[in-house]
Amino acid sequence: MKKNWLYLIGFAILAILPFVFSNQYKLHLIILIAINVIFASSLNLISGYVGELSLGHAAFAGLGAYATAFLALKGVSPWLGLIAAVVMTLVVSYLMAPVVLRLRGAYFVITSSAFQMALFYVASNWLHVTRGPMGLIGIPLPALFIPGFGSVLLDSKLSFYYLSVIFAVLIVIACKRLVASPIGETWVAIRENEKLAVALGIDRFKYVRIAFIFAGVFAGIGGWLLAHYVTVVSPDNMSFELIVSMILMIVIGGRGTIAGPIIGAVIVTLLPEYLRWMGNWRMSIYGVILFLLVIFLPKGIMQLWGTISQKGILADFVIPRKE
Amino acid sequence: MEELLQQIFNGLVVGSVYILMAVGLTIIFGVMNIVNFAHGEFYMLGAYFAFILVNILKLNFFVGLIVASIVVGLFGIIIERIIDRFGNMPETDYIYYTILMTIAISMILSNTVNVLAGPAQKQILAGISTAPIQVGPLIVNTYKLLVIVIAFSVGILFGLFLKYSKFGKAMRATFENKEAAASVGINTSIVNMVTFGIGTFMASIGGILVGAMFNIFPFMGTQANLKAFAVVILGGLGSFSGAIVGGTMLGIIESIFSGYFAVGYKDAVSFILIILVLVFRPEGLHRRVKR
Repeated sequence: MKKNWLYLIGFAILAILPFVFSNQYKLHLIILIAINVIFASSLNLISGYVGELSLGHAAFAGLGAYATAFLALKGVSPWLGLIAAVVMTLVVSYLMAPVVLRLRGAYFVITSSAFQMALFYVASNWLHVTRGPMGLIGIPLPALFIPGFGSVLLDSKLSFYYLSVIFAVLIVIACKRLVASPIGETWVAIRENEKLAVALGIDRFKYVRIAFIFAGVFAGIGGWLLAHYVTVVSPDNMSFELIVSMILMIVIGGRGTIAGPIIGAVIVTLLPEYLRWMGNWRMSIYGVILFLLVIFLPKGIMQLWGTISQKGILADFVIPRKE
Repeated sequence: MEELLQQIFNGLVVGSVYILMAVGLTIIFGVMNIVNFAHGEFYMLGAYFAFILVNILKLNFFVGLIVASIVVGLFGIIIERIIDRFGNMPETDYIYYTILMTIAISMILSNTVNVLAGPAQKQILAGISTAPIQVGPLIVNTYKLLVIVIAFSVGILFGLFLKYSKFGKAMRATFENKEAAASVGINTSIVNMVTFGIGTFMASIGGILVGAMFNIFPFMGTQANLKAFAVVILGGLGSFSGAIVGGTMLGIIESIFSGYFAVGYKDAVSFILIILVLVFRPEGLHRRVKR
């Protein structure tokens, strides 16, 4: 019962947050954080819980973005664009699953990377359809149809804040339920000792595919949000930088936990703002940070939370599903 | 038909560089189980270093080629020591974390060069004639022939070293089975260091050859790396001969593709090929896949 109260308080805080941080710039940052939470949580499903480093995950983010961009520019409602993004990522991840998931470890990493780079090159070169690096611009903002009120265009940072935060919360909850379910436990079983899991009769492919598809669809939703927020879609929506930042998020935050991606998203989104004074050295510094993290904090910041998180509501979010 | 032969020749030129990169990646993965995402950065570093030696210090191209590559090889050994020093982690996580480490190293190297040298493209002045020479139906030039000769020489020399020298045997043993090699008294640490050094040396040679043929820029390594991975998958991760065949094939296929279709998609070819190979024949071209 105490749990439910804490959740309510958490949601209440989220609800009034934009009125506390009413500065447009800060709202912008929080919206980006929300979208990054979605990206990180999605990657976490396949890379944290199943344990396969998917270097190509940004492809699904990009697919979601392009799917909605194509339709929106033809005058289709952004909400149908959302359905398109979901369908597109669902279909592609379902088709790619047999190709990519038969492999393990290093092969999986390289193949998923190849998949993403292939899409990136297609997006950059298929000028006729995607306009290449120039991108698709002028993507309309979503509008909410409230019966009795008419159409409300979500054209302010405030309204987009609610849109993105609601989606982020929904997806985090979805991840949490997945992880707590028998499916999630199977994922961890596969990650910890695949041979044993298979010996127990677990169909590895089936379960990894489920993770892969969910991860892809969630990333696609994140891509959809990004497309309608930034109103521009370009090959950068599925670039190597994007996947590096997603990986940074789950490595910093702690993969294999629910809170990890959230913390990671907050840090990775805000880091460029704090490191802005470094100018062109920024990416090199990222590299150094990543390197140091991998050495000293491979389990992410969540590693430091070990003891205090043993009980209560935090345990659901913080205890990594491992040994 | 003549045009096809020409495409094949051009493909061979590029392919020989791919072979250098792929062999380096293969031995690093085979001996140390590290997927070196920073491999392309050594290719880039070699090119930049040679640029300094050849364009600025006005050294002879071949001298620059060797010296720069040796320096890069030594630098590679330093990097290997760093990874080794910090890479002590549970077996299952090893691949995951070394990949992240090499990605981090790649980011650091390419972005630092980008800041220090600027993003503008440069070219190494090899001082070797690129005047076209007619050989039968083919139009070649001295430089392109040189690229093929150098790449294949390095490859053959390395192959001979592997096969006939005592250290080469040690390397092959470690490649086959690390624990067994260690238990018969082979110093796997030294084998690791030398392997990484040789791998990066070869990458550097590739980068310099390309740098004099086309141009150099700070992020040239990223693309080269991905091509190298494409070759390695084509040939089978861990297969030495697969890397050679795969490299040649990729070069030729890309060349034919860009000759008959649009040039822009040339690079997409390698990735699409990877996916096709993995769908129909995941072990790659050669069945001797090391697990």
